[in-house]
Amino acid sequence: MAYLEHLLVLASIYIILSASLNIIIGFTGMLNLGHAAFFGIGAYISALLAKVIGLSWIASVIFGIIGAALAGVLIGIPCLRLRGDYLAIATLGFGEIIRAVMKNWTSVTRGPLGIPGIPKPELLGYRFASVNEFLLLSVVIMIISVWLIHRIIHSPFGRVLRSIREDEIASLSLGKDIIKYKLLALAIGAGFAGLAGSLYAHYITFIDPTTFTFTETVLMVSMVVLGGMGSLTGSIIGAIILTLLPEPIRFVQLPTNVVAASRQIIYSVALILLMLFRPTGILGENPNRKNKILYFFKHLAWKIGLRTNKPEQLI
Amino acid sequence: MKPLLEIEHLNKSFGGIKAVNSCSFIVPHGKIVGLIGPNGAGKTTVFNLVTGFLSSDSGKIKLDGVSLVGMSPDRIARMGISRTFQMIRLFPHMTVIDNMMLAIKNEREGLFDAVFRIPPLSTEEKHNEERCMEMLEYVGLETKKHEKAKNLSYGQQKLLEIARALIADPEILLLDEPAAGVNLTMLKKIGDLLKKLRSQGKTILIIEHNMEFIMNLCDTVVVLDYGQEIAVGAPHQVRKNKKVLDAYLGNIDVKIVT
Amino acid sequence: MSVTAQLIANGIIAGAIYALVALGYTMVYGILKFINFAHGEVLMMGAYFAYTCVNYLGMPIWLALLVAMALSALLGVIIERVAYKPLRYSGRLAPLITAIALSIFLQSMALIIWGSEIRTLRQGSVSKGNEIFGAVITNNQLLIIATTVGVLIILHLFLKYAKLGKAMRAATDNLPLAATIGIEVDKVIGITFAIGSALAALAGVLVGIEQNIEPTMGITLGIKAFTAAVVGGIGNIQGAVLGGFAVGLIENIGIWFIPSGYKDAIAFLVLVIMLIFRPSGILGTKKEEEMGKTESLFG
Repeated sequence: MAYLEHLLVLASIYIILSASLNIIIGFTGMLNLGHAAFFGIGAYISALLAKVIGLSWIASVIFGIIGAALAGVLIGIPCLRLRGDYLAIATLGFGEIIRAVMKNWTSVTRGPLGIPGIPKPELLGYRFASVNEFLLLSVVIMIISVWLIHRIIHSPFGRVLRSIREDEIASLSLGKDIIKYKLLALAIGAGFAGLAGSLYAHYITFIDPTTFTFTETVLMVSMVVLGGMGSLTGSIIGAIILTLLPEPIRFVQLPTNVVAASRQIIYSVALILLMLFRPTGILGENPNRKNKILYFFKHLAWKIGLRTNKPEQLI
Repeated sequence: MKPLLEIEHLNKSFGGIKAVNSCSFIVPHGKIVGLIGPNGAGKTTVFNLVTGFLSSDSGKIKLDGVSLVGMSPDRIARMGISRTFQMIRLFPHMTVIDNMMLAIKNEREGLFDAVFRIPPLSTEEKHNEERCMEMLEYVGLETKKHEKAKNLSYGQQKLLEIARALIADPEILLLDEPAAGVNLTMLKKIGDLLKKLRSQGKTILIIEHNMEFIMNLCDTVVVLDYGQEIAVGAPHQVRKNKKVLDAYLGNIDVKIVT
Repeated sequence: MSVTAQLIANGIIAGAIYALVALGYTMVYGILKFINFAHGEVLMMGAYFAYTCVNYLGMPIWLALLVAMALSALLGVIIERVAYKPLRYSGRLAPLITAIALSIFLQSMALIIWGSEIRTLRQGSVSKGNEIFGAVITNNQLLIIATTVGVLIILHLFLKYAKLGKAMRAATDNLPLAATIGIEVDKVIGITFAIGSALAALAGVLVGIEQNIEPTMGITLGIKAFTAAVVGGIGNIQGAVLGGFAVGLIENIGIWFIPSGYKDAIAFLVLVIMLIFRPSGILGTKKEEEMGKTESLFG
């Protein structure tokens, strides 16, 4: 059971990551390919403060969030003039630069050796040491995060973000300071990614640069796209599916590197099929959620031949 | 009384081609001014310069005596200039009501209000929504409230774009070809709407190719050719102007549809 | 031997490789206005194809190279037909995400098929090298430069004089127009992918001869070559070549000033700086400059 609990902790962390990435990609329309860097910045700051400086867990986490959010703004300022795929490449570049710093700034990060022995979280004298204790903590933090993100998205502020995704020029013509909104969206998304990173660091108790690669970003993007851009529920579903989906491979007798690669193959094939057949993901942005989930599975059944008649298309 | 919008010796070149060439004209309070001219005369460029989407090479643009030169488009919009676009620019995947709610003046679009909501947002949202609904009723789109903007007909989208520009309660409304591509019923509807707005004291600057529409509607017509105003005056005066006739190859009474 | 000369020589050798790969990005971008993210992985597959031909089928290296180029060209065309073509009219995000997914897919396939061990196409011991202008350059490295220059000349002649080459240029200029004057757009796009992929395979093999082959080689090389394309002005063939050598030189001279661990980051830094300050690149036109920034206003 401990293994399932471990998976659920990871799922909680990935839910925060995909929901936060969805603010940037799905709601504001900025294709950010550097999300793993924000994840990593949160993890590194929080881990170093807790372990080296000896700060309390809660303080370390807060600094991790602030650090990641600041990084989001710093990356945003020069990149926001760029559009679409150029923005994507620039954020990817920034992500890799940050990883190069993690790898090479050995006096602080210990480079490829990583940081071992990160203390487990401690709150009001209670130490979340075991997996199930940590599960409780991460689920609570995840629920608070999702609630906050939901609140931010479903507000006049969130409406402006969506208008930027739809048409920047029209948004400008209505007097919206789109640079400010984009920077805020980046800061919020990066901040929550930093929170996830800090959770991850204090859970695994070891971090090194290999955790925060571009592949990790691709995984997060897959979760967002699978769930549906601009759908918070979708991000949650996407994160759960992609955390659990590759797990059965573990029980097949294969060498470790093949397992890891097979996992990547599952993600990538899922993503390609999704783009080809249903680019809006399981849930696009639509109030009619229940029907949409139902339609998705009906449609899937029809596509793979389990159903003879094509399900009625929803508007 | 000072004119609401003043444009003086405005210049803009694109790679050596003068799109706007020392152009000057004014838009007085409470009037409808038509901006006409052959294709490529620089009309839309003037709009883009006034609204800050392009920066001018030189010249003055003043709204109520305040210079707009160098301001960002969003700031100019907040100063009280609303516009529509030649190619409709709605938020296609958002509902009609959301399109409207984005345009209405709202002090609570910040992040702080999204998170803390002190005092609650709901009363204000409800009030704004009621005002938006009034405007939608005014243009006859109230039944489309929850429809996505992309699902409206072309004419309805044009109306929605005008309604969206209006709900911002602008000092001046800039309309870029509101009559292009709409049917006669819709055309009349738009014309009536604009006249009604004028009677309420609104100021409108309008680009249009449909001469009949312009001549019936406008108080003043500014004719642009090669980026420069070649005639300014009441519709019946401009109609007889030699330069204007030349610019249009003597075909001013023929409806020019693009 | 002089250090400066050596750094410049290293820069030129790396630049030659980047130029070959950058051509693929730039040709595809020129026509489809789309970044073929999986291009670096085609290079990697090309290198592995050649490795397999040499080590398992006992082919001589030149034959392995030709086979690898042909297979990669085929791979490129298949990728375009299966993954990109259906998405040609569905916005910019969908093809980009598909391309990223494809690159992860190819990388993982390579890892499963060939393993994560570092391989090489180098034969025999490293030769001693010739001293040219104070820099030591091995025969293999001379081969890289010679091959690149030769291929560039052939490509130039092809684009300038061959009927297909002219069609490609027309499609680059204006795709819808090219279609209306009877150019078979699908065919031209296919050929573009085939040529770009073959060049990538060539680059992959050259890297394999000079250095190593591993499943992740496509990412870094791909990004550097993409940087080269951007530096030169994406969509511009001569620009890609110029950008390739520029990136190679900047990177190799740059490590003189900063810790060598940051070598790969230099290219990223150049890329980000270029994208921000001059997205049109060195040889790009004003028209292309608009593309990087906020969508051109009323086009």
